[in-house]
Amino acid sequence: MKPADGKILPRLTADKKPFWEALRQGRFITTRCKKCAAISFPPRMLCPACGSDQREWTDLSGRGAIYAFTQNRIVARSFIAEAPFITAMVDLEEGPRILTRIENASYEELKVGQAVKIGFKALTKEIPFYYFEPVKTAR
Amino acid sequence: MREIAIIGIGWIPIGAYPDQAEHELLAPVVKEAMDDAGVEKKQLAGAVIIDRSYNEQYMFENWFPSAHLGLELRLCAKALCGGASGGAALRYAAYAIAVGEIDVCLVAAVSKETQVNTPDHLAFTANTFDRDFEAPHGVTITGVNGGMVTQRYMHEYGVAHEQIALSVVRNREHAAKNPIARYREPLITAADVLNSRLVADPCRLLECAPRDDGAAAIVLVAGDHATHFRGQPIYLRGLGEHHEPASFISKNLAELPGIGEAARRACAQAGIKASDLDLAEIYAPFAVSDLIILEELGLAGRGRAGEFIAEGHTHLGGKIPINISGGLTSRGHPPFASELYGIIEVVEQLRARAGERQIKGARLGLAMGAHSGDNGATVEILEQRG
Repeated sequence: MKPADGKILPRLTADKKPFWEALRQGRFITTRCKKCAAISFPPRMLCPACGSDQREWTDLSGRGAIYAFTQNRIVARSFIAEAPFITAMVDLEEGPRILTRIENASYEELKVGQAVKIGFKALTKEIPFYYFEPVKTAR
Repeated sequence: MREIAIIGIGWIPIGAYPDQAEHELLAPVVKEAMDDAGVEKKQLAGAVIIDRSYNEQYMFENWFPSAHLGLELRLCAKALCGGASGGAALRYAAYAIAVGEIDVCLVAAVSKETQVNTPDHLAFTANTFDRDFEAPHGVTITGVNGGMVTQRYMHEYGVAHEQIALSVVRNREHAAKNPIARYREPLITAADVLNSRLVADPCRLLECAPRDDGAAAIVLVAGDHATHFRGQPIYLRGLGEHHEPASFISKNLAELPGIGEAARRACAQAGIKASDLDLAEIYAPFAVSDLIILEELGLAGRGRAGEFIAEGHTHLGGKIPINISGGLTSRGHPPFASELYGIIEVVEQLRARAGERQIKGARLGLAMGAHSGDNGATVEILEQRG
């Protein structure tokens, strides 16, 4: 295996085209099983809950809560310029637990259970992407 | 089904081998294992090879056993299952022997990790996550299994970080007595561990298994042939394997149910309880994984493994010595060979050949491997019947 060159970018595959098209328009969508209604993230071809290949695309609220988080100080080469940065497991309102970058927050101010919402940021001209950030509440 | 025994082992000290190619690390350990077993080249009917290297793509299953070792085989394959590759390879060999297809089989692993720098290594291991939806966020194994799991373990149980660091202190104490361990300088206290630099908050450098090179081999034989060879047989008394429908992301990061289930299956097959074991070589790539695995084995209650370690129960001379070899954090971690190194330590102990780290009268030992954020596992229980 050769060291990976350049950035670690998502491949915008044909099967996931609806996701990337929606993301480009500022919508966060995923697959829902038509048989058992389980919502998956990332989008799946086969339902991890029941195995069905009957699926539909559904909108996600883009809101959730942090289950766990860390501040990454050793990172893959293409991320060095951004380090240190925060990644987290976020429980989406609709159920799935996902891995994501957290932006616009310091490690010290974050807490387990913190409410977060999605933000959108293109990685290149062609590749849209997303992150999560704290929901600012008036206190 | 036929019984299986390990009759030969071979290994090199864990370290950095920049001047040796993968097959040049593997050939001597194969020879050592065959000599230890007293097995001739013609008697080997199978070879299952594990090779994983970050500087070149190797195709050992094709040319190493055939062209390099000159073996004529009835079974030959490469087996990979991340940190459980040793268990996967051993099972392919053991099952082929158990059904009577072959009688003697080689299992050998080489894993080179030091000839690439950390940022490039992290770029490779990013592929253990979802390539399109997770890896582009910059997630790392260290961040998830080190940082997030340590955070959740302390969050769930209110345990002090010092208790987690004690597993590394214990591993270093044990490694000091193991000539093949790479990290033998003693760490006096948990503070020494927690004074090392942060790598993925709150996880510190010395809580993480390092990257190392290693090569190891074992020879398996049908139980009914075990006494035909010179090597002292150590029997596979129980095998257990389980893979959760989860990779890194699980319901509760403070638990590792895949390891718990694999261990229960192995113990059930062996007809024993984990507390009957004389030693266990556990696959714990981070300080916190050590504690969770002790809890999954049922040796300590949830959130209590730190206390269990602090009370000395897992040290040499304790109730159940854990990682007498030094474990992944101190013996060193060539990940694709680490499970075989654990098996080899158990064989050494059960044969009473472990020198100053010998556990007196050891007859029953456990080794294991794990993969996908430790959500899948292979567990082996070995027995000495002398």
